Order: sequence, then C-alpha cells, then structure tokens
Amino acid sequence: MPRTIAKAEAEYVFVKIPKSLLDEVDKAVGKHGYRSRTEFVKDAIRSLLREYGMYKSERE
Amino acid sequence: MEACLFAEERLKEHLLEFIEDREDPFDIDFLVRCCLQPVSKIKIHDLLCEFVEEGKIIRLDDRHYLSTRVLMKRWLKQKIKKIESNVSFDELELPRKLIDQVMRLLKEKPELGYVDAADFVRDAIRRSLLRK
Repeated sequence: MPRTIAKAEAEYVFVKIPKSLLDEVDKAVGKHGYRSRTEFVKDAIRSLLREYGMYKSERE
Repeated sequence: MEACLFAEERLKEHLLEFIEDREDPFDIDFLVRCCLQPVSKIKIHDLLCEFVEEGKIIRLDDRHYLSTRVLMKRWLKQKIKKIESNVSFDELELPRKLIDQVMRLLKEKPELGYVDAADFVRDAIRRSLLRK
C-alpha cells in the first residue's frame, strides 16, 4: 500500500495558483463542459505547449 | 584653486557614500564628528543642501536628514509585503509528465521569459480564459 501512495505521489506534482484565478476557472468549468478545474488547467497547458510546438501526448 | 575644488568634490563624494545607505536619520553634528579630517559645520550644511536639491536626501525636520535611497527601499519593501499578503494561493495537482514538458520548454526557450513552471501554468490559464 505505501508503494502505491509513493507511486501516485511521483506521478503528480502540486502547482501554486492564485485563488482569484482559480475562481475564474471554476466559473468557466461548468460553462465549457469540463469535469473539473484540473481538466480545464491541463487543457490550457496543452494548448500553450502546442502553440510553442512542444506538446507531446502524455501517453508517448 | 583647482586643488581646492578637487578636494571639495572628493568631500562631497565621500559624504554621499557615507550617508546614502545609512538606515538612521542623521544631522550635521553627527557628520562633523564622523569626518576623519576637520570640516566646518557650514561646509557640511552646504553639501547637505546640495544633496537635498539633487534629490539624494530629504530633510525630515529642522535638524535631521535621511537618504532618499533608504526611504525608497523601505517604501518598496512595505509595498511588496502588502502585495504578497493580499494574494492567496491554492495548490492544484497536475500530472508530472505534463509539467516535465513545461520544464523542458522553459529550458529550451528561456527567451519566453517564464520564471518557473507555475508561471507558465498561470499564463496558460489566463490565455485560455481569454479565449473562452
């Protein structure tokens, strides 16, 4: 069991975001069909990476 | 005459160096006492008047002066503290693989100006919110 937790911790990292910005995200989440604020943020990161020509699918 | 002007310039330079980063207010008596060579109170007074005119120091009251640089530093420190304490943060859990890609981008393209991965993520969110 501890191994599973360690693995899960290694697969995710915590990023600090201003609350005011997350409040805006929360408002946009429902409107645009995202399941959660995390989904919205992941999509936003992928878009910007794509813009800079750096995005690779996480499964690769 | 030239030597006298040179000595005066040197005194002005040294005096400014001495008071520029001085955290506490100072007065003429204090500066006269600190001089290694005898200098008249009037000379120090004249130089302080020049510094006030040049904006390098400010006059606090009839006797005391304070460096403008020190004053600005204090003001900026307070301002920065106020801004930091006004912003509250939340932590968001994101896949490491995605953040690794961000880190790679920051390494390969430092000219984009992102300070760290969180800076990039915040920018991505703002851009996304503007598009929607």
